[in-house]
Amino acid sequence: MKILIRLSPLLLLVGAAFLVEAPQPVASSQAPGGEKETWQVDRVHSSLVFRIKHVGASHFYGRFNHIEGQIVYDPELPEEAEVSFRIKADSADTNAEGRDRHVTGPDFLDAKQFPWISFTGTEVAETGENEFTVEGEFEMAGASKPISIVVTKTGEGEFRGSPRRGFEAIFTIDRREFGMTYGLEQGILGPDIKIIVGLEMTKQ
Amino acid sequence: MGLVELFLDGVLPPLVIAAPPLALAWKPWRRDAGPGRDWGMILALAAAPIAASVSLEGLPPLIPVKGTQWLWICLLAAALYAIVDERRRLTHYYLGSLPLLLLTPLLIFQRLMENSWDWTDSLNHLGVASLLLLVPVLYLPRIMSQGPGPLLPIALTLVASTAGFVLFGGGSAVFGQLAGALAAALGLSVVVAFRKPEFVFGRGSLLVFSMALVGLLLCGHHFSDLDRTVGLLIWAAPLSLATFILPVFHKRPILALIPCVLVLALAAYLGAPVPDPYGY
Repeated sequence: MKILIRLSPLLLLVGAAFLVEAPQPVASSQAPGGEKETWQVDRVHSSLVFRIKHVGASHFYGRFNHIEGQIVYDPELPEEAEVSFRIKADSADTNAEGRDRHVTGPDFLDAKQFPWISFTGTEVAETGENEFTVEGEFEMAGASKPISIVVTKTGEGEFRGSPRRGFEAIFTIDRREFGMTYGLEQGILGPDIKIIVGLEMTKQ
Repeated sequence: MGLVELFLDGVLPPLVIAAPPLALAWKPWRRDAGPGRDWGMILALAAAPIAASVSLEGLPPLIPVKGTQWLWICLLAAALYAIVDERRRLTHYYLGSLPLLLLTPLLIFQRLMENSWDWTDSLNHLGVASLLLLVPVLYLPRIMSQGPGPLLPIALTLVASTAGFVLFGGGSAVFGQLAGALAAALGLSVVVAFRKPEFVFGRGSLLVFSMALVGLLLCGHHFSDLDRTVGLLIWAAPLSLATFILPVFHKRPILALIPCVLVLALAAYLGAPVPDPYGY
């Protein structure tokens, strides 16, 4: 019994460890009175590039090669859209193998522990013609922060019989909020990461 | 980022954090103060890497999410357990710390178990990691009981410093700095040990040291690119201090450090960072 009492904080720790859940993709649903459409990211026609300041001089660009996600929405009620995207953390590409390993390692994205960077929209507002503001949670390297993204609809088209819609979003995050401080005090890399996403969505 | 900047950023703050408990426990300014209790070293060894982690990555969330964050929780639990249980019998102490040593890898690797490992992988990795933690915890107090005096803190400081060096070379400046913080706390113990030659590590501080060192090596190998052989060499280096037990070295104990230094030199050679390792 004494041993059980002694171990009880450890058992609580184990219990707490399993409370942590992985992000789940948003499921498609049917709204009362409206036909919801599901649009999925066409991975080969979508891009995500990021930019960070190097030694206070230049803007260095890298990219992620794997992005997936979907928007489920009723065209008449775009503000009720369900938005979810995720990016494979180990798909970071900075045009230098050693740097890719470092960027995906524990000093930055910690891809082995957190294989996905994700954004889950919680609120969508139409703020202008072809312009939306999407509030949501951005999760990266084990930290989750609320962010607001301005999304612009860039156009519509058709490719091999499948309707397409294009969107672009540009937003900035502060990497310190995600526990990434490498090279900050020495001024090697700046604190802000600008993320530019170009999405081609295909109707399901 | 150079090693000097790494030292200033990651090692100096934990050095400042680790100094007060060690000083309070050992009273190095008093020649007549007898051998201090182990709690100072236990707290210094636990506080130094935790302080470095907070300084580098910020405060962890209430429920840890990263392996290293869990390592600090386990290290804190081990430190508290070691302090409370300091005066118990050795067998009682080992039995009491065993669940902690089994639990630590489970918590550190929970993300990998969720994301990458199946049951077989998990059992294999957890088994190996628990064994790697258990061996130094069981073995180092035996070496300590031979009374190597200031040589033991010197050797353990070399081990932690080399661990920092190869973790940096293995792809993570943060892990390197965390091991550097551990080395900084151990370095303080060297200073005290020279001032007070009766200085020895207690089994509690060796438990915390083993947990911090092996935990960081496991994180370096599984979350970063620390080579397995290099990690195992660093792990084996403190065990090679078993030479202190050999009667042949009793007259010249400094020679007993040679195997440990050689193992560390090999690890440093194999795991040395290449110039500009991260490509900036």
